[in-house]
Amino acid sequence: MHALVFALLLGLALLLESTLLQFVRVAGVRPDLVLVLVVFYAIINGSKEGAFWGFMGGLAKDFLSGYYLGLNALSLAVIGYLVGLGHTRLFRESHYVLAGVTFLATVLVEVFRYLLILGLGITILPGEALWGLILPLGVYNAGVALLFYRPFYRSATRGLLRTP
Amino acid sequence: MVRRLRVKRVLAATVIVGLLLLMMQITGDERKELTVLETGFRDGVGFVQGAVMHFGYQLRDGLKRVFPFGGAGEVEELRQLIRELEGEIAILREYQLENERLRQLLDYRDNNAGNEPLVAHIIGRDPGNWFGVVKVNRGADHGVRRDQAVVLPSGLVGRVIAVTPRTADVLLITDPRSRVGAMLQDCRTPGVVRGVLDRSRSLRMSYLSREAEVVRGQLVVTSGLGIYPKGIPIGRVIAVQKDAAGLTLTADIEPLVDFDRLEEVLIILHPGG
Repeated sequence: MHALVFALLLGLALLLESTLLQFVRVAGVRPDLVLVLVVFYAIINGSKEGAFWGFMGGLAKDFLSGYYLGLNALSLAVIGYLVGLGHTRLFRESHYVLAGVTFLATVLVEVFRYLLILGLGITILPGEALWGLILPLGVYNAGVALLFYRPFYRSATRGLLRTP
Repeated sequence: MVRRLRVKRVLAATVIVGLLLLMMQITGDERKELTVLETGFRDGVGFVQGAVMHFGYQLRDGLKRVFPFGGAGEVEELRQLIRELEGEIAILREYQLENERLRQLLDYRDNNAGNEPLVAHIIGRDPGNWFGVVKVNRGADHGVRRDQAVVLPSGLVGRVIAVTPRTADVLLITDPRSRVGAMLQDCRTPGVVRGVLDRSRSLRMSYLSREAEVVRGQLVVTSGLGIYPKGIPIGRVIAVQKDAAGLTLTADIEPLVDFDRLEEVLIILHPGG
């Protein structure tokens, strides 16, 4: 049941990212809701689950985008795994901790994506990537995590997203 | 036993990563055609995206006007009336704005009848932040083909990079992969305009001759080299600097099109026709 609910959440996040989130652009970036959800899920359920759902969410995003299939699947699977390592080490009840983790996860995943994009032969200057996208997106995603982690955590421990 | 299992896992992960890297290489934006699976998926999703975007436009315009009102007390009834009237004005204003936009597009189309511009609505955007691609509700069934230029009366928007029967993907000129053959309108100095991730200067014009007189405010238009028809306005120069080697100049360009507020665009079906 929880897997179905989480899959639906990822689908909704993707639909919003490709449509309505353009109305809430700040400093030229839209929040990466799929990444934020993967971070939430990985910190609560661990590396294996984080990597799996990162891969699935990323693959769906790749299909919706239609270009460079695998770019998001690979980067989100890696970040899901890495964040999941903090499953037993971090104080995951605190939404402040999660905001910090989300910021770091965003910076890491975007640097990884940037390197993959460079590898695909697309030229973007490092300064442009850092100041134009990576840092603003990190701050934005951290803000989103601050707002939504509490209800997500409540649902993951007592509600529909609770792992049996 | 445990070691064998670990080796198997590492092998499986390596194969998956290898496959994904291969997929990334072969599914870039320079593909000539999409697969049947992708075409069906995009047309299906495009329908849902179109409905959600339409709702979004209505909600945004409604909120803009109604949001400042609120509160309770004796005058709540009157406030409610004002809210309702504001809502009605918002709807009428929305029709007026849509009328103005469509009239501009019609004027442009009439003045450029030879190009056969086709009006298309934006129904979706690339879900990521790295690339600037929008999806429109016109496709191969309406005569849209890959590499057709996409414009607005105010200036150049981008080019078509993928087509399904009912939708098409447009690569915006602000995308880092975009390259446009351009020139400074006054002095006819040629250069190449590319997209930049930094939103304070979404475009950059490179390879300008260092002897060229480049000043702030100069208009940049397409040069006609490449797929874009000649003379389409792109943007205005906002800053100039020498490149690292000092051999050429590079100019930061502010686009004439507001890419955050795109709702309709024109696809040039037959340039110069």
